[in-house]
Amino acid sequence: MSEIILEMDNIIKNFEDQKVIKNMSLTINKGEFLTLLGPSGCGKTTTLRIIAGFETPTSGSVLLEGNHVENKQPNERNVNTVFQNYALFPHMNVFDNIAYALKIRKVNKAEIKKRVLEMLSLVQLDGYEKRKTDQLSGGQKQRVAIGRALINNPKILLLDEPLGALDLKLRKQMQVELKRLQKKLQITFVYVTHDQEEALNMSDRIAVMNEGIIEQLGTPEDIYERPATKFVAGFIGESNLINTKIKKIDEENISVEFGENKMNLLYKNYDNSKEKESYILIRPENIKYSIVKPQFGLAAIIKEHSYIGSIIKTTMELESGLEIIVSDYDKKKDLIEIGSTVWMSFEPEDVVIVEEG
Amino acid sequence: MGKKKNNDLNVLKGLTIGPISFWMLFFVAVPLLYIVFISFMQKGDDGSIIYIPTISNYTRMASSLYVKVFWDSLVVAFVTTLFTLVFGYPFAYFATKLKKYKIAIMLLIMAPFLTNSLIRTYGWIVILSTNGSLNHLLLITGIIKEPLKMLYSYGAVMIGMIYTMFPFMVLPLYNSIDKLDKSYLEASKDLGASSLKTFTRVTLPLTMPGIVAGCILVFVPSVGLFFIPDLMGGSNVMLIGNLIRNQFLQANDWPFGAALSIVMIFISLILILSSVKILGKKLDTEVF
Repeated sequence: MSEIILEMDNIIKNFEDQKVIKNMSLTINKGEFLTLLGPSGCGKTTTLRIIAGFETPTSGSVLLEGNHVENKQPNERNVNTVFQNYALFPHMNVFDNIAYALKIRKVNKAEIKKRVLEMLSLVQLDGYEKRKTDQLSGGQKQRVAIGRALINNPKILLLDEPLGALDLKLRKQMQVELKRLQKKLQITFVYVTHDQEEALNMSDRIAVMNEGIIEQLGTPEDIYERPATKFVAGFIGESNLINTKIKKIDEENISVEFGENKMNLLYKNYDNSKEKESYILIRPENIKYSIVKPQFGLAAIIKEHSYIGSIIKTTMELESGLEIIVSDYDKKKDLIEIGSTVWMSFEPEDVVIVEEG
Repeated sequence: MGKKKNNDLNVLKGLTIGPISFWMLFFVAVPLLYIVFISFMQKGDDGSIIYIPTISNYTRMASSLYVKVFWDSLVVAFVTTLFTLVFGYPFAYFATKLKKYKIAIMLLIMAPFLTNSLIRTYGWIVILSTNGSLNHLLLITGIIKEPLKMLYSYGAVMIGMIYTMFPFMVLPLYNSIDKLDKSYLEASKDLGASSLKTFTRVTLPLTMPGIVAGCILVFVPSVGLFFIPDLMGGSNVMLIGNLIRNQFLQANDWPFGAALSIVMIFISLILILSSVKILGKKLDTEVF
């Protein structure tokens, strides 16, 4: 069991009459890369600002290494932030920006110089110390912002959508670098993003947030393969959610009904013995289709094929009118004509049961 | 198509910049050159200008009488600038934090502009004169036994100047403080700085353009303002503005008045340029 660095208990945050965080609890382990993922307005940035100290929770407690900090000012907690717009001081050059925290703490000049130059080399900006901030590219500003926040050896580094302003290629490159930096320094990173790919790619754990609550907390694999709620399933990756009736057969088996069709699944510890309406999730890459009727299959009409680089995405419509997306990596295969009726099928082990949430 | 658009833009540029340039050239630059010209001429006994070159108008100023007038004017302008800054900065700073009411507060600051500043100065005379309302109030409440002589002193001039110039300081300050990106302040606190250190290391340097603009807007007119020293200082106060006005309107010595004007403009310019340069260097930033 790893050591806990930050504990948020029953946090509620209201802005006037708007409830932004609704009773949230979260523990963050030392040295982990945790991502707060969610659409805009879900409360992820507010959560980060509560950890940083820019916002005081309406109720609830925040413990940093076991000490209450919820009423402490940002300058009284050893947590640093990389801001979304970088917020580099425009009246200082790169060196002075990075040295800021050390100058505030009155570290001696020789030590400041040594540490700032080391930091510049860590963020791969050797030789840039004299540059003015407006002479830097977006990626370079990003590195200065990271260096400035890391110079104090924070217990936690908070990153608020730090790559949002960069172009796709640079973003991918920075993702790799950030992850490498985090592994090397062993500092806890709390990362806010609305980009699910970024979250899956970098995180040890992801907290998926929606409307002020954490919908699911887990590893990227948990979140993608076993989404707990309909919201998570819909937000992460492309997903086909099919409305079904689920019935428990015994401890290890359930049956799933799609209209006329029934499928028996191995599903341990399904926690409801009653028959109820629910959703099943099948990822586009786990669906197959053919004109030959398989043992189990649902009839569908091909609506559209679209070529998106590495895969071919096919949209088809079930008899119920529900649209299903299928992705196929085999691009050499002949495409079935639009308008044809096909049979789509999937393996029982690829089916995930998702609650309304 | 693109070319035509460009031409339209050029016409628009010409129409907007042209008349103003014309105005500035013929009604500011040319008269100013004329002032420079006559400052090197002689005065005739009947108040006319005799076109014989001389530098006596400038050498005359070396007398201690005129040096004192220049010095007093600069001190009054400097003190006015200092006071409006010291009162204006906190005012502007907290006004930006009022959210909903900040517009209302700024409108209140601007409201006096709706009345003539001469009339507002008479208002001060009503308040400060020996049998004025302030003395009346102090006598009634028993704080003083004898009415105070407040009007016709440097103190009264300072009150009038600070009052009149205050909005010119507050407006640029308010503007630069209000548009200061709050994330810089958060970044500073995040990096361990207290509110005070954040103010001195981030807020103050980043609002320096507003401070400089405000100081120039107050200092320059303060040097030459003459109606406030006239009305509130009376014969006890002689500042450069009054002196220049007297040369033109009473003594009929246009060449000397012109020379005084030129020296005043030069002193103001030198003071402004050097302070901008020093501030800019010290903060490692361009003020403009």
